[in-house]
Amino acid sequence: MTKNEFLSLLQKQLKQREVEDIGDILQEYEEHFAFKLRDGYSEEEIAAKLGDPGEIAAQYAAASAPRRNNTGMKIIAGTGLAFVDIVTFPFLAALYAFSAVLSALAAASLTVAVSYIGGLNPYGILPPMPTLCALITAVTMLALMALSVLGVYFWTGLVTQLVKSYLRYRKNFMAAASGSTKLLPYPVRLKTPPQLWRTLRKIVLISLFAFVAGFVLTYAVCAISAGALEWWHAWNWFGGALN
Amino acid sequence: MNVQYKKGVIELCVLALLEHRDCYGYEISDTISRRIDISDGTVYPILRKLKSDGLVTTYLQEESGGPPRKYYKLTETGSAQFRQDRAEWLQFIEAAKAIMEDDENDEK
Repeated sequence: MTKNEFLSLLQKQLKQREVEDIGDILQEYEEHFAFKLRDGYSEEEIAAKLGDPGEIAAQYAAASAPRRNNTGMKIIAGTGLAFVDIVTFPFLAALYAFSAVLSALAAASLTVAVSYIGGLNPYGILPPMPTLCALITAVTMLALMALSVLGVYFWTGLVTQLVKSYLRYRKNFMAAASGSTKLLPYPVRLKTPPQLWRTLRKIVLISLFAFVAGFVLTYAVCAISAGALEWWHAWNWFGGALN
Repeated sequence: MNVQYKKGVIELCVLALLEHRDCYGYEISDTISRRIDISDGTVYPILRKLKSDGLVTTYLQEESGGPPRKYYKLTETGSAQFRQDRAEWLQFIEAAKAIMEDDENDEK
């Protein structure tokens, strides 16, 4: 069999089996002939080593066939998934909502910290306290802000992985229904590079320590400067219930 | 050996070659058929299947003094799939070998 005979036979067989992108496939075999000819093989030898064009065409057909004729299964699988989606997508959205809550916490902590440091009191909402207490509270609030910002990072990252994992699951579910190949399940874990991961862990530990220490210290300093354990009553924060 | 049986292993071999570096079709076909007894035409349908499964992608690259060549490249999914399949396969042949060698010893 010559090169042209082989290629036209392959083309015919591929057409018969309704394989797509026939030009692309023939190109690959033409290249194969070109390489082998350059190495000194004859067209007949090359064609013989390639194997039977009918068999090759069958392999291409086998690789792409299952995709076509499973419309029924696809519809059933798709309907099933639609019902699962009704529950899953709102659930995932709710998980994202927690990121919004943490972001709000971060913004609030920052506002309180800046207000105490700058001696501001927007809308008169912050309870008054001595300067030292205010500064310690500000530091505590900054630590809380760092914690909640990192919380947003971790939580959003994790939920995003969860979403991707679910989308991969959906894809594989449909692939199983239509008989095509499934992909690996998507792992739910953060892909933070190890160095960044260590840095973040350090920041979490420092912020956590600063927050706890700041909380205790605030209480202590306030109690001492007000001369009362329930210093918030001493400073009449809640409208003088005790006085 | 059973042809169908070989084909699954060859798929893994193709992924292994692409894990090292990007290759064009003939390179892969040539490397494999030099070491494993299969007809030269077997590798191309496998490449096609890997592409439609999303395990590899292709790109064209100009070559000096010739038409551009189609290179195959492992995708992230392909790479992950390969590492998992490779581990499973090596474990499998290890176990199979142990069983077969046990058999031989019993007969002696």
